[in-house]
Parts: sequence; structure tokens; C-alpha cells
Amino acid sequence: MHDEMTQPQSIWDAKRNLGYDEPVPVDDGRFYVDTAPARGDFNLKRLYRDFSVDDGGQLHSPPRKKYLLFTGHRGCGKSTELLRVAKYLHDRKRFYVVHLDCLQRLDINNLKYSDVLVALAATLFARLQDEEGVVVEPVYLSRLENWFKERVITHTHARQLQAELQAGAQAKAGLPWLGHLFAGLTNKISAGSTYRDEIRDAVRNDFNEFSEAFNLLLRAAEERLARQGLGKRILFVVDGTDRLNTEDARRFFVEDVHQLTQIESLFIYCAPIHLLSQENQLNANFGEPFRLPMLKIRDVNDQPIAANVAIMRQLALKRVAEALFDEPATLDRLIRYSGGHPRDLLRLLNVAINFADDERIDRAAADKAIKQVANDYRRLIDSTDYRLLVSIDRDPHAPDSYTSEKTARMLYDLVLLEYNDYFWKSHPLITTLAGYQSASAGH
Amino acid sequence: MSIAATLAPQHGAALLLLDKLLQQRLGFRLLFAQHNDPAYRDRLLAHLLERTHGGERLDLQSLSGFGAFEDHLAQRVGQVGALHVINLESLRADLRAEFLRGLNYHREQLAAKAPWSTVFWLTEASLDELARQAPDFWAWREQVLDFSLPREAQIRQEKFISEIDNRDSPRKQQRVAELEAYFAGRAGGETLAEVDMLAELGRLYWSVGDYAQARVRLEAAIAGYDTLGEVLAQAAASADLARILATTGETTQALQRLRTRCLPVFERLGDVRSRAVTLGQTADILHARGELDEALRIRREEELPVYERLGDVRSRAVTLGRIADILHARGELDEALRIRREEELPVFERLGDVRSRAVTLGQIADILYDRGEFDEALRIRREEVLPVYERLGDVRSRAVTLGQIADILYDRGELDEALELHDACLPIAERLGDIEMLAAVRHARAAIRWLRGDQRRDALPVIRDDLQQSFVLIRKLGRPDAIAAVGRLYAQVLAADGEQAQALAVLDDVEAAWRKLDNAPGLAQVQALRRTIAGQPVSDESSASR
Repeated sequence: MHDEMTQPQSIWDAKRNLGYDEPVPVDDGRFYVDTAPARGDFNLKRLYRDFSVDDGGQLHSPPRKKYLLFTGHRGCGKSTELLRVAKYLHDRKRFYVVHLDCLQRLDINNLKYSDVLVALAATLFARLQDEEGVVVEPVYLSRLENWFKERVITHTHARQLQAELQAGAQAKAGLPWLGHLFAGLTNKISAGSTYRDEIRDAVRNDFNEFSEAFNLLLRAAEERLARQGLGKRILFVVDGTDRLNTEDARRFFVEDVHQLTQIESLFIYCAPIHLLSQENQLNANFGEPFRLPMLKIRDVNDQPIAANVAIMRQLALKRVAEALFDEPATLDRLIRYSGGHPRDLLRLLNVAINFADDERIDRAAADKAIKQVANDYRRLIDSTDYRLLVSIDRDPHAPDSYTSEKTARMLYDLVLLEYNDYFWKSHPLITTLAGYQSASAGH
Repeated sequence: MSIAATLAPQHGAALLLLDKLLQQRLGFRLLFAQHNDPAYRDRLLAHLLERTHGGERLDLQSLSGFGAFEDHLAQRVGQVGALHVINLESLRADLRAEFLRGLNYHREQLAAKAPWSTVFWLTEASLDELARQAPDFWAWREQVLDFSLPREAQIRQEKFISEIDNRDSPRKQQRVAELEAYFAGRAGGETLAEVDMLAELGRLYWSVGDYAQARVRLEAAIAGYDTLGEVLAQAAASADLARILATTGETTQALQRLRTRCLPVFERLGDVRSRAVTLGQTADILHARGELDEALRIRREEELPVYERLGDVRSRAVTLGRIADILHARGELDEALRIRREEELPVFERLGDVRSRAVTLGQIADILYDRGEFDEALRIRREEVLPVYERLGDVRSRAVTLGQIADILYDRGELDEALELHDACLPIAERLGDIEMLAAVRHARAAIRWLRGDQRRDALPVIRDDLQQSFVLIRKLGRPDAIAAVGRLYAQVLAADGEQAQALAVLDDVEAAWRKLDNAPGLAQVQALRRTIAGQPVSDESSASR
């Protein structure tokens, strides 16, 4: 093992490196580890090909519109990988990528499709105007401007809203004005203001007009961007929508999909893994979802894959110095029981530190951590689930035959983990529980 | 009182760990502390807040919703002490759902606003609910610590909730067997520990309704304490024995024991609290005997002032509740209701004592029931009381509440629904080995069927069987009021089934019970029934009483 970090003073110093709330940027030299190689025979090529980018990075002729769902387990690195995708695809020879993080820009509590579309418009307009200096002729903008004047302001009967939205606008027309307006609308929606529902109603009730106007503007913007060598097509990447619960996700991705797909462009939406149980309804509009697999530290027969375990070891040692473990086997034991889930590894490390007696993480502390975190998973399992988990573990290559709302929920809860080449296994922590062992013995 | 005096030994390590985690300043950290006793939780919290500078306790019931919680976090800017959040489980279902949704969806914003350790103190059921309904928020947990008390310890920790013993019958029986095995072939009571176990055995027998055995063991314990010179423990055991005597109708002996063997000891030793508790016990007996004025005087003039002087807000609230009981019995419903709502309920809410709050709400429902406000009484029981017991896993209280709901339905004439509820309670009562509940449920089922006229549809054997089992249990308990109530119906059923002699024998028991209670109207009723059964052809009496 090698130690890639500055030696912490104690395990309590190391604890500072084990927070969950700070995402690790790709260019973070302290903690970032490229985990892609550890996901098995996985790469993003299939996703790129879906958008007509060949293995050499060359963009061919993408379709007029495409909507892709990007899914994977909670905490497995979706946002980080999406940022990598966005970074790669954002290239003058490929796409002009517009990235929207709904968690930052919007309030996803009670999220509606109209919120996302308005926010995407605002983001696009701001980028075009502020970053690229793209000029779009008024003829392409006027339909959207008129929609706003005739539908939003008239509908809301709110001169005050108009005044608020127009306050501070330097221009009274054109892209700068439109960008300012849509930013204002997004802020109103995000803040849950009294105008929020009215704005949503305006989008919903006159959606045809909105979508046609927006599509026209998109085509014009794409042509300008291509002419200026900034990208051949616009690609929208939407993160944060994987946080939606079952009911909200269904409303957004299934019931409102007609509206989403009326915007004719290229989209990648981050989606919660539990949505996969509704694949029949999704496939018609989104095609096959792109599934980010768990780090594949074990094969289908539960044998450790050394190279991938090494990547997880690297991930751990960037945060907790090697000297703080009594021996390498202790860390490997925690890695094994993480199942390849990065956050669970951090959690096991965190809890093991809490149980460490003499400022070192030893086998006893590791085992206590394993037991404690396994107990947390017990809360998510009904007693009748264990037999199903045992069955899946004994037949991991046939996940399709087990696809149901129940297993979708298990994937969502991380009780079941999905690996490349598309097999399922119970989280290793689950296998330590008495209910699982009893079901296994009786199987 | 230092934490050492009240901390359950198995929680020492967890408390040390939590203390240590809270001393660290690591920015946003999310911790969960599982508990099953609000009073115990509060003692732990008080200890932790003393130890960490700037810590705060936040009762979610004091907030109007999730938005208010976020605002509160924003107002805490600049603080670093831990935030302890309590009573999520006490929120109304829709507010709780809103809160969980908010936690999950605004996880990042919460973390940004809260660069300190946040500890959510939750019951097991609430913790499970949060894990399922707010999985992203749950995923950011650092540690889950368990401060749950085993049920036996719960009873010792909080006497005011100790009326209810939720240990399943098998566990109680197991402990009884263990103690009996120990004392088999042994004189017992030679050491203080042995005498303590004799007293424990007595209390166990009492809790399973074996009052005869309970008496034997408690008397042995009292003798043992006397030999060892343990006057305080002797007085406490005497108080327990007095409780049994009162339950079995020997109220005069019970009062005498309390007044001569318990009160003088507590007074001599200056144990003002135990004296107050014993006076309260005295008042209970007087209340049961119908001596309401004296019971009220004791509560108001001797018991209440002690708790007020001690600053014991909980005991004060409980005593006020007892006063409300008396006023209720005297028909002073408005004042009883005012006390419950304005003086009792707010205290339990402030203490986060969800169980006592539920009990009080049930008592409010009782008053409303007596005022004829059946709908509101029913709503309270169904929507505010029952869910609490379900969340706490308190199967006995839940079953009792279901029975009370059934009572209301019975009075509203919804007999089928009432019967269904009693049917649902029966297996619970059997599993708990709760003789009183078993007797009550069987009697209730029989009374409903009798009222419905099921005996005309070949259900007489079922009705008779229920009453027979109920009567056997009631006689074992020796409760005269219950003997009178059950026996009266049982005698009628026996007579309807052609068993006149047996019916008259039952009426002998009923008559003895009414005499014990010195209840003239009851005696008159029995004598009338006796004449009917003995002298004339028996007809179905549809006006069954319970």
C-alpha cells in the first residue's frame, strides 16, 4: 500500500477527510481518484455513441432530438461522472454543453418539468450572452418574447411581476433581455414565490407556443454556435433529478414526458435507479437508460478483483493514512464489505474510527463498524426479503427475471448492488445479517 | 441528579462516544440517537448540553413546519455547538411527511446552513421511517447510537409510565421460573439481594395477575427487609402489597398498611417524595371507594405542593391529572377538561413525553365521551392516541385504546365494528398474558353478541364460553366491581341456557361483590334478577350491561 496523503496527526484528524457533504471535483488533487477503471468492463463509449460520437471523438450526425436517462446507485459517483461526460462532450468539434444542477438552481421539492425547462432556457441565454457573445437576430427571439408578454404577464395579471422581472435589465429586447427575464422567472420558481404556480400554469397552459418558440430559438442558437466554432449542437445535461422520490420521479419522467420531449434537442437527465422498474414506460421516450455500475471489486462468484480493490484502497488512503491501520488486511476487510460503494467505504471508515480504542483502526474496530452499518441496512429490509436476496445471489446473471418494484426499491436502497457486466448481488453487509444467513441456510 | 445515577450501564460507551463526537468541530455532521423513553432521552440531553458549550435542543413540535426548521438553522449562524432535534415522531402524519421530504430534498442546503453536529433523537419506528422516506438524507449519517432501554429497565426508570408492563407473557414467565428455581429448596431472604429478588417476584406475580402468589412473596420480602433492618425498602414493599390489597377489594387493609407501615417511615426519614407518592396511593383508594372529597383534599393540599416545591413538573402534571379524574367522577367535566388541556397536556408536550401525552389525550376523550361528544372522542382515539402507541410499539396500550374505541362504537350502535375490534385485541391480550384485558375483551364480545341477539342464531355457546372464561379470570383477580359486572350477564346467559342452578351460584358471587362495595342499588338489582331466574321462565334480556 502507498500513502498518498500528508500524514494526519491522529485518526480524529483523518475524520475530517471523511465528510459526505462536499463533492470532490475532478481536478481535486487531494482526494479525487479516477474510479472509472474499477467499474469493470465499463466505459462511456456507449453513451457517446448514443449521441453519435465515435470512439475517436468525432461527432457524426446526431438526431434532431434525443433524451437519455443516466442512472446508477445513490452515492456511486453519478454527478462526478456526469461532469466528466459534460467536460468531454463540450468541445468545438462536438457539442456545446449546457449543464444544469437542479439541486443548486431550483427547489426540487415539488419539482415540475416547467421549472427545469425555464431554468435551462435561463442558463442557455446567460451562457450565450455573457460567455460567448453570441448574437441571435430578433426574428428568432420574438416568439418567445411574445409568449412571455402575452402568456406570462397577461396570465398572471401581475404588473408587479413584470416590474420585478424587468428591474435591473440593461436592455429592453433581444437575448440579453430574454436572459434576464428567464433568470428572474427561475428565481421566482426556485424561491417558491407567490408567482411560482402562475408561472408554471402559464408554461403548462400554453406549452405548445412555448415549446415551438423555444425550439426555434434553439435552432438559431445552434447555427450561431456552429458558425463561431463553439460546438456543432447544443446538449443539455440535467443533474439532480435523480433525487426525486418515487412519486415525483414518476410524475416528472413518465406523466410529463410528453412535455419534456417536445423540446427538440439533446438531453441527458440524471434519473433515480428506482425508475428502472418502469422501464416499459420509459423506453418509448428515453431508450435504454445508461446505467453507471458500482465499482466492481468482486466478480459474479464473489471473488475479489485485485486491480479494482486497489483503486478503492487508493480512495481510502487519500483520506486515511496507512499508518492508522494496524495492518493492510483491516482496510481490505472494510473495502470488501463496502461492496464497491465509495460512500459506504467512507462510512465504514468513519464508524471504525469511532470504535477505535488506541488511535488505530484495528480488526475489532472494523468488525464493529461492519456490524453497526449492517444493522442500519436491516431497517430497510422486510423479513420476507431475505429469501429473494438469496435467490438473486445464487442466480446473479438473470437480474431481468427479478425486475420488479420490489427489486427496484432494493437497488434504490442499496440493499442490492448492480455491477458490470450487469449482474446483481446483495450488499455484502446484508449477508452478515441473521435473516440473510437463515434464509441462505434454508434455501 | 448526576447522569451516573440514571444512565443505563449498557449505554455508557455510546454516551461517551456521542460526547466525544460532539466535542469535535468537524463542520456539518449528522448523527442519530435511537431511544424509546422520552424522559430518559431528556436526562441524556441535559447531560450533553451541560458538557458542550453552545449546544441547543430543538423541539420540532414548536415549529410550524419544515420551512421554520430551515429558518431556525439560518438564524443559528455563527454557532458551533451541537443541535439536538427531538419529537419528529410526535408530529402529525402530514407534517412528518413534509418534514422528511424537506430533509431529503434540501439535504445540501441544510448542510450548508448547519456547519455543526446535528443529532436527531428518534424512536426506532421513526428512524426506520426516515431511512425509507429520506434515503438521501439518511445516506449522510455518520453514526447511529442506540439509547433504547429494555422494557424492564424502562419501568424502573420512569415510574409514572410504569403502570403498563409490555413484557410479553413468556418473558415474564421465564423470569418467574428463574426466580422460583433459585428459591426452590432454599429458605431465601438471607441476603439483601435475595430479599430484593423476593420483592421482584412479588411484583412479577402482581403484573401477571397472580395476586395470591404476589402477596406471599411480598410478605416474605417485607419480613426479610425487617430482619435486615432495611426500613425504606420494607416500606416500599409494603406499599406494593397495599396496591394488591386495594385491587382485590381489601381497601381498608390497604389504607391501614399505607398509613401505619409506609407513611410514618417516609416521614421519619424525611423522604418527602415517597411520602407524597404514598399519599397519592391513599387518594387512589379513597377515590375507588367513592370518598372523593377526601381524595381531592389529599391531592390538592398534601401531594401537589410537594411536587411544586421539588420543581417536579411531571409529577405535578400527573397529580393534576388525578385531580381531573376526581372532578370527572364528580361530574365537573368542564374543569376536568380544562385541567387536562391547559395544565397537563402542555407539560407532557414540553417534556416530549409522547406516551403521557397520549394517555392524557385518551382521558380527554373520556370526558368528551361523557359529554356525548362521541365523534370527537372517537377522532382523538383513532387519530391522536392510537398512532402514538403504534409508533412506540406499546402493544398493550394500543389494545386498550382499540377497546376504548370499541366502547364508543358500541354506544353508537355500531356493534359489528365494535366486535371486530375486540376480536383484534384478544390475541394481543393472550400474548401479553394480561388477565384483566383478557377478561374485559371476552366480556365485551359476549355483551355485544348478546345485545345483537346472536343467541337466537345458535351463538349461545360462544357467548357462554366467553363469559365463563372471563368470570374465571375476574374471580382470580378478585376485583369486586368486575365480578359484579361480568357475573350479572353471565348469570343471565346461564339461565338462558337452562342452567338455573349455576346461574344462581354466580349471582351469589355477584351479591358478595356488591356487599363488599357497599352498593345498595347493585344489591337490589341482583335480588331482582335472582327472583327472575329462580321463580319464572327465563326470557332473553336484550338490555345487557357491561
